[in-house]
Amino acid sequence: MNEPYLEHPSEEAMERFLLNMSPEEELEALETHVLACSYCVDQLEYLETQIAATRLALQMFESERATKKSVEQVRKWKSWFTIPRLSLAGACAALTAGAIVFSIPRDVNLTAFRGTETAIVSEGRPLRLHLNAKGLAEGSVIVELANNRGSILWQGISVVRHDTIEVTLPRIYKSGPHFVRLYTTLPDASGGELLREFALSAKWIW
Amino acid sequence: MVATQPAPIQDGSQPHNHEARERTSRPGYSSVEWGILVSQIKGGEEPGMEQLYKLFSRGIRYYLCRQLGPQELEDKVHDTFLIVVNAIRRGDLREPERLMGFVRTVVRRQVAAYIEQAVHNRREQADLETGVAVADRNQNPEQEAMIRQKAELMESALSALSERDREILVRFYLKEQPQEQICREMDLTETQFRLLKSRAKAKFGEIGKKKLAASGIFSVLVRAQAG
Repeated sequence: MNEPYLEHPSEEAMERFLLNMSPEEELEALETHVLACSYCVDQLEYLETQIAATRLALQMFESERATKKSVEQVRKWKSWFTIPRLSLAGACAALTAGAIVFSIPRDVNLTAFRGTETAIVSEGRPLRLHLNAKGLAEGSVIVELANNRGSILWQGISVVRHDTIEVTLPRIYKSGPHFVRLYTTLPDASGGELLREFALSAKWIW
Repeated sequence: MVATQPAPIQDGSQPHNHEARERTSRPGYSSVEWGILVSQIKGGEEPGMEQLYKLFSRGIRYYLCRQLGPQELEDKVHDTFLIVVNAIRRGDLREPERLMGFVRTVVRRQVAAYIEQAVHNRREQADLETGVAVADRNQNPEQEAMIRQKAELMESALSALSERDREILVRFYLKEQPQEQICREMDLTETQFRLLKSRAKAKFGEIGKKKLAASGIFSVLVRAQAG
């Protein structure tokens, strides 16, 4: 008679039994055998202790590893808060803030006076101009920025709407008088008509 | 050489020859004449009853303890034996060679009956005590201490294993994942899994033994110096 339960089960089969992982056929053979085999009962009792100790050791190991990891993370986080690092971070933040501040266009309202009244604008910052266009026909106009020597620094197109022209000028890098002029067409073509002129003075303003 | 069977363990300590783990040890039933045994039991003969008890008492005790816990264990073992003997005398066992399977069937039915009784008792009987008494299924304190000591030794050995070997052990023993799942998720064949697990356990055991030997030597030296 060659019944499976007559042979000692393997250590792996015993482990599966102790962990309640035995397939049905294996369970039947193992239980039948163990009921009549003191030797295998000894093995099972020993394995039970081994498995319990292994589980406990693994739990302790994993728990210690998790604790070490979180301590390491806290240490890494805390290590940022040294004086040199904080100073560097502060300086970078200040530079970034400065860059952001100087990127925001300044709003300037201009009316057309070429005389003693001049609008003061920030040097080094983009300018968002709201030009007085009262009396001008609605439609496209050419906008020109020139310095006090008459050199054209910038040209662009904008639109007359509700007696106002909105235009954003690039940064003016040199202090001193500048002019914003409005034309119906490009001023160097024949028939270009100067519609209006606005005076402004660029200064370094914080 | 065939190793002899170790003596039955009563206190949970390791068998003396466990480290050798002789797989060639022959089971106690290998020399049993089943036909003679069954006819002796049917006839109520003492030698038959003794042999039956000697053969099955340890296994039945272990099985019942595992399934039902340690309380009233001896009574349950005794009751189970009575049922087996009475069933054999009634002629319920047709083939003597099937005695082992027959005993398993009886024991499993006993376990089911005990569980059913316990469920019935919980439903029908009101407990006079305010709390519900629950049997402690933990090991006894001595065994608990032994397990903890082993675990501490094993823990230091775990750090010497590779991440992969450790992962296999964690998945199998701690998370109780089945072999199929581990193989699928770690991209292993069944053979690879078995080899890696047994290798990890072997390394584990080797490192643990070295550490134990080292601590053993240390304690001998201390005793020698003191004494």
